Amino acid sequence: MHNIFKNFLAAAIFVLVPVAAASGQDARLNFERLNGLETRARDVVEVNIDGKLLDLAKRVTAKAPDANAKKAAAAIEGLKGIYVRVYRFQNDNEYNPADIDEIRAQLNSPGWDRVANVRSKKNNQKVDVFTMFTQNVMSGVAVIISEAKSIAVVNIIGPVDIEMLMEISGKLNIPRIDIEQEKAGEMPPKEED
Amino acid sequence: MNEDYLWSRTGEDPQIQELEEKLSVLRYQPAAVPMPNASRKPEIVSTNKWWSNWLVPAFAAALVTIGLTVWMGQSDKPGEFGAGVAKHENDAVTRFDAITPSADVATQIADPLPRQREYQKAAYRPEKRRLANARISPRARNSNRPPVSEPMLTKEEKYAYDQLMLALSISGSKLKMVRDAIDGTNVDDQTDRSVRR
Repeated sequence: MHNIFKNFLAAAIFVLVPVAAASGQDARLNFERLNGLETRARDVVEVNIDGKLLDLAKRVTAKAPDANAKKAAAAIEGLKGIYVRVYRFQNDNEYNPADIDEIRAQLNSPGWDRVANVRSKKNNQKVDVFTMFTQNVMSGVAVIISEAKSIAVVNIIGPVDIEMLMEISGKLNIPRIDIEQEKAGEMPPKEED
Repeated sequence: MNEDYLWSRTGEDPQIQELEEKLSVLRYQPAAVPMPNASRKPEIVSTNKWWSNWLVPAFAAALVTIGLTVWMGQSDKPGEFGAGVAKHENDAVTRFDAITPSADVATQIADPLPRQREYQKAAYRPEKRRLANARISPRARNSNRPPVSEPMLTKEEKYAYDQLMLALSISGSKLKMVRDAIDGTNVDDQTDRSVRR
């Protein structure tokens, strides 16, 4: 009887741990390898929103009378976290490609599915989009865009309306930030953890 | 000189007596003062012109009439308060302004006439009572207030909202780039695309 109980417990752990591992928590990427790019990049944008900060932001967004803000609130209703890293360099190939390849390697782990892969020799552009689903519910999205002079990584935890995000991008109540454009004297805000 | 005679006419002083006789011509002769007739009212002579008594009230009435005319003329403009509310509503659509019409504005829209009567009453009250019972019309009260602005957010709320909007904007723009790359907007001959639908 005791052995049966132990076997049952082991089986339960064996089943539940992968389920927990496949939860939204694992959809978060580790950006530690990119920390060294801050000193080399000309422009840096780093945004981390999760936990209570995200809850607070959701409440404020839901109360905003702006129509686009309401659409954003609807699009991020189930969002659990959003992490953005954008690095722009002065010259070509100022970063080590291995740094960004390490991020891509994390997306080869179980749970992530590649949905888009674009390679262009123009500007040495590489675009990768990955998604993670847990029980038919989107639990994560990862976008990696690397070019000769810039790196952009977006990691979204939880379900999100991607179409809505693309629709309202640039219409939200903040200046549109276009890191790719050459604007003299323009310095995107640098956010730290 | 006999000082007693000088003070109380006691005794004799020939020199003083001689002077008195010579100056007797100039002696004061008191006469009875006629008493006024109590039944007769004093005659009041006014220095003002007859029309000055009506000048101040007429001037005040003219001011009130002009003020009412101007105020009524402004309140008759179509959709004034509605336009103001709509303007605020429009601002709320494009900006993060949770502006809602105040109860006073709603009252103005609903029933402007009682305030007009109230103003007329205040205009014709005596000065002291008018000051004591002075009422500030809702319109004047609202004009003294600072314009309604966007809702007050705490620093934490503002920071959280700004960060979220920033992240969403960047995410949306990058997703657009991906979509454009996939759809071939930025495609050239050197682009290799693979998409799993």
